[in-house]
Amino acid sequence: MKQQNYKTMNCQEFERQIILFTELSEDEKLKLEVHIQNCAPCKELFASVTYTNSLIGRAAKISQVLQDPTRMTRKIMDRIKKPEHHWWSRFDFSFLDLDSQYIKYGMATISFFMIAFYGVEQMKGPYKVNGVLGLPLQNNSRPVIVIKKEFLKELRKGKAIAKSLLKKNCVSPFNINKVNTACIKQKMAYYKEI
Amino acid sequence: MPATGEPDLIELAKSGDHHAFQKVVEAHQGFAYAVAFRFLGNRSEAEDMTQEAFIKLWRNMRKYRPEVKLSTWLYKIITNLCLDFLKSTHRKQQLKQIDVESNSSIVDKASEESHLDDREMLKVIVELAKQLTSKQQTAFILRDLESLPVEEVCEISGMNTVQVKSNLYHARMNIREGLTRYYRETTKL
Repeated sequence: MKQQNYKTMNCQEFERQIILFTELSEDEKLKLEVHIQNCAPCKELFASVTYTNSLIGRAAKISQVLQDPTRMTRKIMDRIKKPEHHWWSRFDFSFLDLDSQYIKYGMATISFFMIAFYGVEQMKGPYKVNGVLGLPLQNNSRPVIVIKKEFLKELRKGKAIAKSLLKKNCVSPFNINKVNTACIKQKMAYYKEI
Repeated sequence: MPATGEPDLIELAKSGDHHAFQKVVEAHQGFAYAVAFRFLGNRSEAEDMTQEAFIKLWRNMRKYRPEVKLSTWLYKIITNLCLDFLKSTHRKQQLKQIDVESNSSIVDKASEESHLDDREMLKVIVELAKQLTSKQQTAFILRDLESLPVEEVCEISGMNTVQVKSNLYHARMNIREGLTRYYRETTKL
């Protein structure tokens, strides 16, 4: 009954299994052996795979010999005995298993959140900083940055505000047109108030 | 690999004893070099990787657990170092220039003789193995060239049995194809 099952193995299955012959169980090996008794092409394939395996097996028996083991030992020991001069070598980081998956995933998570935080901060638009004047927009709580010194200088001179100055610093990388118009309107309003 | 007194030497080395570690190096450096050579196929590179492996072993000695064989741990270190080295850009550029079909040194030797001797066969196989993916190369070298049991290959590579077998299958298919192609090319010469 078992013999009949062995004969039912098809050639595709044989081809797949023959490559992993050494990893097969005794029962699986027997199945293959029974199959090749009745299948000439698979018998040929078996011979070919066996030949390749024998070549690999012969090559595996060759062990490269270290030419100068004494020199190698000396080199390794010299490096081990040599004191480390890095500032961080004074600290013991041995408790950190840097090969650990937890450390790797932890670092990846921290990096992800830092990038996400940076992106969110960028989306918020410009902020008021020293040396510039933050003008809050009427319809939008986001402040628009204007170079205060330059802006007031133009006003003091009594000159008409140049188009370029109106447009200057009124851009946001994410919503250019909308912010730009609102920013110019705000600047004009500010000018009128002064 | 000497078994007598090795656990004691390892314990001493863990406590920072240089002399004990030297004994460990002397006992294992030959095998470490042979493994590195099978990954890299180059004497000086294999020597460098052997050195690096023992430096890494020394630095991580305190993490060593006696339930794991030292050779398994060393295999793991060497495998990772060699794979990282092969992945490096420098190595990739070199690999582009090395093609088994056009590898003059191997072909010249092969054309001189009607068949390859085992040492040359190892060189050809190592060159072919370098063209596999890292996982395939690891599975192939550890299982077929180092003749380690599948369970130990799993432990060293971090793959499960199914992954090891799958990578082994593809590796053997590719090596087989490569050898066939190589023989066809050399017999034409």
